[in-house]
Parts: sequence; structure tokens; C-alpha cells
Amino acid sequence: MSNNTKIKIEHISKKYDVENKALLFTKGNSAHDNFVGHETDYVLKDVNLEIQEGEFHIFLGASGCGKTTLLNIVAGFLNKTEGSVKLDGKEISGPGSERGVVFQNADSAIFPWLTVQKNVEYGLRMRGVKKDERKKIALDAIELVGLKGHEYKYSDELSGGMKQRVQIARSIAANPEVLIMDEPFGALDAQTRRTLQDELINIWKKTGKTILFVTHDIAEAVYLGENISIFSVAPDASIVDKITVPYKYPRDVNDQRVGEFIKYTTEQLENAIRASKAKHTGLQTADNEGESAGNELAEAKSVAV
Amino acid sequence: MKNITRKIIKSGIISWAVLFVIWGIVSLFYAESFFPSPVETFVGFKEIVLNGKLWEDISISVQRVLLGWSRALLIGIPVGLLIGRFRIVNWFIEPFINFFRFVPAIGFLTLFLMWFGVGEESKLILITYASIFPIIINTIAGVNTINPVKYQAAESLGANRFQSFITVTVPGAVPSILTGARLGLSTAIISIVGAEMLAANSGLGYLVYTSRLYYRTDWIFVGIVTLGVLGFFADKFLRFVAKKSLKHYGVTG
Ligand SMILES: Nc1ncnc2c1ncn2[C@@H]1O[C@H](COP(=O)(O)OP(=O)(O)OP(=O)(O)O)[C@@H](O)[C@H]1O
Ligand SMILES: [Mg+2]
Repeated sequence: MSNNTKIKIEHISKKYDVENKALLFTKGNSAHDNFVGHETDYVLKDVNLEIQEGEFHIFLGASGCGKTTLLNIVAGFLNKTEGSVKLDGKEISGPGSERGVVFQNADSAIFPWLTVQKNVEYGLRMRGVKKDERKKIALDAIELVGLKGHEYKYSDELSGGMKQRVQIARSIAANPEVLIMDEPFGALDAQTRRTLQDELINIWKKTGKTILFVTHDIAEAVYLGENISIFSVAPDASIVDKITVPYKYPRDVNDQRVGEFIKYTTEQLENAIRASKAKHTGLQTADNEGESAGNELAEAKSVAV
Repeated sequence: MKNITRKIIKSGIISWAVLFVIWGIVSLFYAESFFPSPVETFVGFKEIVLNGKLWEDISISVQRVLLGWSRALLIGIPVGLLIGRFRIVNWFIEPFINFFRFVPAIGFLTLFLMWFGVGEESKLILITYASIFPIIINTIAGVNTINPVKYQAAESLGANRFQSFITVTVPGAVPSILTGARLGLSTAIISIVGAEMLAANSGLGYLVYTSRLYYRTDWIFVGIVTLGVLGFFADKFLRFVAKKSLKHYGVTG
């Protein structure tokens, strides 16, 4: 794979405007309604990262550290407060079809009024691609994700894993340069998750796309990624560590060396969380921050096991 | 066995039977011209069925309702979609909606007659006015229930604002649009009486309103029952068609 910088994130900081939030999210997005931060807190502070073309890159961090926030900035759904994000040297200023997105929740992302095939054709249709051409590309993508034979089904006839496959096929068919994925397998059972992970690796190898993949599952991070960015915790979260996974694909999670690497990654994550928590408690006195630090550590550990 | 009784109760047959019995009992105490019995009403019904008057009234009222209601759909749905999707449209139009929806159609009756004449037009406008608000308001609500993630998905697949309006806002609001259409139809049927109260010489509303002049209280009853039955079946039909054809839009019935 070539050695061009695909995505360049420089000094990105993000502060949610609490007043604006009320305006932005009047339309029933309850995902972040339980925000308990201070109005003046930065969620992300001075994040720097370069992702190479064709790289499989993982964002790993505890829940609430700002992975989705950073991803949404790269996708163009959210405005940054400071800094710059460039794709091929060009500043990002909104969503674009060169950045395909696979959302965490397939049910809210798929168009239930369209069949599988029509969902997959969607991006091409928006671009004005002719019907026959569209169909051909869509069927290829559907085959690639293993949904052949389900072209005419609607999303209420699909399982959770199949829905995520539809999302992946839909993104691939639109032929983006970068594939942005936010914990896409988080809601699936272990078996399905493993299958989809393997399929994703195959798709990545076949298409050579740059993949930006968020997870808080350490084993998943090590199984999938070439490089892993480790996040500290919000407020003022940033990428504090970058790990390169030294193993070839396909990786075997039962391999002892891989197991040890997972342990190593866990330690790195714990250190990052501990260090930033220490910094926070140093900065502010009274709070229940310490307690939540413990929770996040516990969660990170349980995921690793 | 238990299942069958459940089914019978659920179907509402028992409720109707009880109503008829009460109606019959109450009517025993009053004169026909004041409170006709079910039998007397049926006799009156037969009379206007046989001389064709009822059919004429039904067909003219149904026509008016359908015309007024379709106009309300034609205007109300796009307006609701635009208000729901574009905040700036909302700012401009919503104040009017929130004012006029509290002014009942009947309130405009004489004004409409004065402005639009005694012909069909004023009646249609009255029906449209009455049924447009539930349509607009439900359409707006439908747009607001669309998950923002759908717009994000559309945009990152290359849709522009117009395309995402057509391909996400419109289909996403379908279930609520249907609710609005159903409510709109019922208010259209309700308003037909008002519309035909003045300056009409046919229609179910006319029947209900004028029968009193001939002391034909039984015909008033016939008119009322017919309106109810028409509404009941129109709604059933609408739901049935929608459930069959719009299932994937989230219409559950
Ligand atoms: N719209 C918003 N308004 C205000 N605060 C927000 C908003 N969205 C997220 N936050 C806050 O920003 C922080 C980071 O949230 P984010 O969703 O990016 O975390 P995450 O790393 O993706 O977590 P998870 O692993 O649970 O998905 C959290 O403290 C969250 O409460
Ligand atoms: Mg997240």
C-alpha cells in the first residue's frame, strides 16, 4: 500500500456548545442527552493523527472519551472547535461521499422503505448513475458482503448481522475512499461479530480502502487493526498512544503472542485512563470522577478478558 | 370456546346491540317526532332509500368530502413537510397555523359564503380548512420523528439537501402523514354538516339540518347514523389500504 497521508488531524479540539445542542438535537436524538460535562469543558483537546492511505486504523478508548465525536468530525457531521482535519490535503467541511460511514445502529441508518438492493444502490442513484450500471455495482457489493439472495428483502426481514452487512455494502457501492465505522459490530453476538470481522478484513484487502474503525473492545482492536490510537478520557481527551499491531492477517486470537499483545494493549489503555484521571483530579477537587475512572477501568478489563 | 366469546366482544357487536336496546327503551317514553325508535328510524330510512333521496345525499356529500379532503392533502402534506424540515419555513408559517387551528371552520361559515359565494366553492373551502390542520400538524410531527442518523447516512452517500428531502424526509414521515390523513378525513366528514347547513339543497348535512323543519326527526337520525357509518368504513378502508401498501414505511395499522 502506498505511503500517502490520507487523513491528517491537527490540533483538533472540541467543545460542545450546550446552548446550541438544544437547537441541534430537538429532533429526537437522545443518544447524548445525558451529557453531564461542564459547559466550558473540552471533550477533545489537541488531537493529532495521521492516517495513511489504505490503512486499517482503530480508535480505542473507554466509553465517553470522545471517539464518536472525533469520528463525526472526520465524517463532517460535527463542527470542530479548533484545529484542522484534512482529507488528501483538503480541509473537511461537511459530509461527503468520499467518506462512507457505517453507523453503530443499523436500524436507524438503513432506509426501511427500500429493499436491500435499493439501499445499496442509494449512493449511486444520488449520483445519477444509470439503472443497469447501478444494479450491477449493487449486486457486486451485495455479493461481497455475503447477502446474495436477499436483494429483495426489507430491513424488517433481516437479522442484526445482515443489517450491518447492508450498511457495509451500501457504503462500498458508493465507492468511498475512506470507510468510517463506529462500533459497527458492538450489538452483535460473538459468533456473528467474528464472522463480520473476518469479512471486513477481506473487504479491506480486496478494496484497499482506508478504514477508520471505532471500538472499545480491545480484542477487536488487536484482531482488526494495523494501527491503534489510544484515547485518554474526557474532558480534554486526546490520542495519547499509538500502537502498531505487528501480526499478519488473519490473526488468531488464541495464539499466545496475540493474547499477550492484547494484554499489552490493555495495559496501555489502562495507563492512559489512569494518567488522565490523575490529571483531572489534580485539576479539580470535589467530584465523583474517581469513581467513574474505576468503572471505566473495570469495563476495559472485562472487555479484554 | 373462550376464544370465540373474546372475538365477539372485541368485534364490538355487543356494544352496538346494547346501544340499540337502550335506544329502543328510551324511545318508548317519547313521541316519534322527538325521539324516534330504531324501528321508526328504519321505516324512515326505507322511505328515503326507496325514493332515492338518501343516495343522492350520500353521493353529493361524499363527493364534497373527498374533494375538500384531497385538496387539504395536496396542500397540507407539502406544507407540513417543508415546515418540519426547514426551520426557516417553520418560523414563517407556524404562527399562523397555531392561531388558525383553534378557530373552528364553522366560525368562518358566513365569511366563506360571502367571499366565495353560495356555490360549491365555499363548501369545499370550508371542508379543506377543517381537515388541513390535523394533516399539517401530523406531517410536521412525522418529520420530527425521523432519526437524524438517516440524514447523515444520506449525506455521506452523496445526497444533497433536496435529494435528502425527497428520499428521507418524505418517506420517513409517511406513517404520521397517514395518521394526519385519517384525522383529516374525520374532520372533513364532521364539517360537512356545517358546510351544508347554509346554502345547500342536498347532502347529508342538509338532510340532518332541514329534516327538523318537517318534523322528520327519524331522518335526522338516519343522517347521523349514515355519517357515522360512512366515516367508520372510510377509515377502515384507508387503514387497510395503507397497511397493505405502506408496510415498509412503518405503517402498522
Ligand atoms: N451532542 C452532544 N452535546 C454535548 N455533549 C456531548 C454530545 N455528544 C457527546 N457529548 C459528550 O462528549 C463526550 C464524548 O462522547 P462520545 O460519544 O464521543 O464518546 P465515545 O467515545 O464515542 O463513547 P462510546 O464508546 O460510549 O460510544 C461524552 O462525555 C459525551 O457526554
Ligand atoms: Mg461512541
